Amino acid sequence: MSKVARPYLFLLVGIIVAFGLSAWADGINPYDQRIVMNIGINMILAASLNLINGFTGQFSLGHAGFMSIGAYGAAIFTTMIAPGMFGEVAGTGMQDVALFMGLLFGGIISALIGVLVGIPSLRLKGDYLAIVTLGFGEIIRVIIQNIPSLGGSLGIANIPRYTTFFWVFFIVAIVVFFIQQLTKSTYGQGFLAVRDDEIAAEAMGVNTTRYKVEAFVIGAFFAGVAGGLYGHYNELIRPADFDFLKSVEIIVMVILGGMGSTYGVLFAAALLTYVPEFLRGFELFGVKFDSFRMSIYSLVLIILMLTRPQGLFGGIDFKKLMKKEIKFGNR
Amino acid sequence: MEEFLQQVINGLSLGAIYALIALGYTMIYGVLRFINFAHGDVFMVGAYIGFFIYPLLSESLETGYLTAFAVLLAAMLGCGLLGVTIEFLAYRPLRNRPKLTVLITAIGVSLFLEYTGQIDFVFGADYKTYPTLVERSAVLSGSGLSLGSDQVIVFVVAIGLMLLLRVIVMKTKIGIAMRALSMNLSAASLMGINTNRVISFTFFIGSALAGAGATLYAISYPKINPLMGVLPGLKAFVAAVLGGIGNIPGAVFGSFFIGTAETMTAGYISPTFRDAIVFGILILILIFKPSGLLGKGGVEKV
Amino acid sequence: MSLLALNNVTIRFGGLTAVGNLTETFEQGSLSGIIGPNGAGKTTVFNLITGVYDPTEGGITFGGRDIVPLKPYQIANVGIARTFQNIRLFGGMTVSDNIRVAFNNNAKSGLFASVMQLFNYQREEENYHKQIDHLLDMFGMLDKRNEMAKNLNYGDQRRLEIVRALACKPKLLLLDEPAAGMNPTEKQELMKLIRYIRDTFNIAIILIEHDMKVVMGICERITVIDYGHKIAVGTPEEVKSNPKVIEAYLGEPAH
Repeated sequence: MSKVARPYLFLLVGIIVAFGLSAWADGINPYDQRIVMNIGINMILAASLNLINGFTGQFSLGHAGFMSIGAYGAAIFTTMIAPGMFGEVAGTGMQDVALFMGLLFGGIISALIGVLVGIPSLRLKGDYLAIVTLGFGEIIRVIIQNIPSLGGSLGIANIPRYTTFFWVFFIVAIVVFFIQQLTKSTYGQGFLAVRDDEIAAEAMGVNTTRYKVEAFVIGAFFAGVAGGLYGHYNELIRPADFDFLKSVEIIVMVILGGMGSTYGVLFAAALLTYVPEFLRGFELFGVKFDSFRMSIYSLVLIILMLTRPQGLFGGIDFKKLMKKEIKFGNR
Repeated sequence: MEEFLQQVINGLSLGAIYALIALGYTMIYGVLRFINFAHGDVFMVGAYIGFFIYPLLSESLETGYLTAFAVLLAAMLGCGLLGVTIEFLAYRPLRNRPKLTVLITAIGVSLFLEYTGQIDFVFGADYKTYPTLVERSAVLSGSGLSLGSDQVIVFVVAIGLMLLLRVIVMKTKIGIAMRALSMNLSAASLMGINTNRVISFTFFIGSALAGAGATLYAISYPKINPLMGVLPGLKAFVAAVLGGIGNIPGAVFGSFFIGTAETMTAGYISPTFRDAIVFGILILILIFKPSGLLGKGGVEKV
Repeated sequence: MSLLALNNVTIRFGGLTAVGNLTETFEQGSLSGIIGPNGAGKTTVFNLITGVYDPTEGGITFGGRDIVPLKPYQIANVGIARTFQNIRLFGGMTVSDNIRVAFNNNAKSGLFASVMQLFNYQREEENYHKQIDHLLDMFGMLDKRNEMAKNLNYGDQRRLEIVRALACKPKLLLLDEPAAGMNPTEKQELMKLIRYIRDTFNIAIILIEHDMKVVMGICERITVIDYGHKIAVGTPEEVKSNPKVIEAYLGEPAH
């Protein structure tokens, strides 16, 4: 019983935390609210990319592309499809239903594109795959830019603000549950096997094709959901919000957190969202930190790669660490 | 028909610039087997070197063409040194590390150059107007076709540099060492080749060519800003992949192809798709023939 | 009917014929060896059997079934497991998870059951862990079950590769130079181990090996190939005295 129940207990705790955050959110100012919201959305993005890059060993540089598909899909659903189905929903309980269905809609479209992007991963590895996914991300952006009904480069404005703290952190909890359970299962060992040695995995009967495409599909789905949440918070989405730089931002979270370490990646997402905001006001020699913060950001990335490429938390077994601490405590 | 020929001319002159950038990608990939993501930004720095050094040179040098030549050399030298420095500081410590670590570092270097360039007291984020190195005049006009003096210069300089590169790679001692490295790095080092020196040299040559490309690019498109290297860099990379990365003639061929495809798309379909077409080509080539049109396929040894 | 039959198998890489017109059969429960000088095409034969390469010409049947069109993972699932010349473990995974990968293909729990992890899943999982522990116990590695594969010593890595292959429940096990890098004592143990595996699991084993003592010591039947062609086949004694074999290994005798 306990084996079955424990992960669900964790999930329940996650949902309660989401509720708690939601209650607390009303009291804080909009600026802080935005930061917390971005932390949650980035956690979803980073955790989902971690499945592709960290657990399955593929290299996607186009995660922002999936995010944009979800954002546009969800926005189209709530602004064009939902009013026809439910009538005016804003402010009523039905707005959550509309949002939920919009997120699902965006996520599913994104997942379908994920199949398409996953296919090159069957033949390509490493930096080649990175370039192809980058190309896909850019193509998605250029295509959206050239569709007038999606607002071109001006994007879609006046998206209703349905995203709440609860929704964001509820989905963070679901993503973490999903990925943790999956990668710990026997079925999930296939992802890790593909990462460590594809040829050996095939030789042991692992259908590497299916795993790679599945990783892309699941990753794309959750990235799409994150995009939907973003759009329904920001109220405005533009193709430029989902450029190459956004993809790099998500990758850096995964790398800093340590590829394949879900909790490390969540922490890195929070850190990398908060720190730049925290430093925004600082001045150095009379120059606003804001003007060179990205310069420092990239420098930190280089230094991190030179000194600790496995990320801050990569290669650390949290379970062992906890046990050790308990042992010390008993002494 | 005339319009078509015109597009071909425009495409080839754009392609010649891409070729200078693509050669750097392909040479560096050839010796180190990694994509130098920052190459497009080295190209950007090359344009700024010209921008800043032109006022100094134009005072002391008499004729316009001599100044233009001096600017070209300065950009090449500056970019070459920048390339060597980047390799020394960021890539050399990562030799023998996983490829992705190096790739991410290269992305980091690329972002660093772009963002540092955007800081106000460095280059500034706004567009600057590149000095007019050569007066633009129509060399050939009438009959509906036009060939500008800038295009002629692009062709002459680009083809001259490509021939020079060929001589260096095929005839000189260090060129032979470069080719040896690209076949087998560890065997080359066992044969007594100083691999670090050859790698530095490769970065120097590759980056200097990007500097030359930047000068030519800025002559043709005189609006420069710190992000100007991103797209030409990516397109040149696609060209290198198209020709088979690591393959020098392939990079040149791929560049002319990409340049022409781009101007054709802009001319006949829609200018907004000129970037998308390049990525489309990239994806098709990588899915169907990842080794490139002129490249050799490699099979992983089991 | 033979378990595995190669029928006129040829593979060319560009102009090079790596394996040419190879016809050979391997019986159920047999213990055979493939030997030949360096570069003779031995590993290529394994790669052909396991579907890493498709033959340019010829056919391969396993249990009477044509396996040429199958993908490598499908071939593994019909009952051919292998080890690699240059060890290919899943370095970032524990010893037990390395073996757990083998159960992946016959797991009833698919993606969603694996995420939900309800009662059926738990039962299945327990069953796997029992099997893993049993296997590790048989090969004296139970105490290392939670170690990262990359941290194992060389001998244990070689052993884990074999255990992992056995977990796939093969009818045929291909061992690619299992004795490489071992000292004489380890080689003796390995020979015992291979016989033990054949007898306990009742499977056919083919091994590629350079060490003549190992090959001659345990194989019942040896196939010799040189430049991709079969030059001799027979019992160790027959092969040892075959002039063609001696020539292939030592060069043409002086006249």
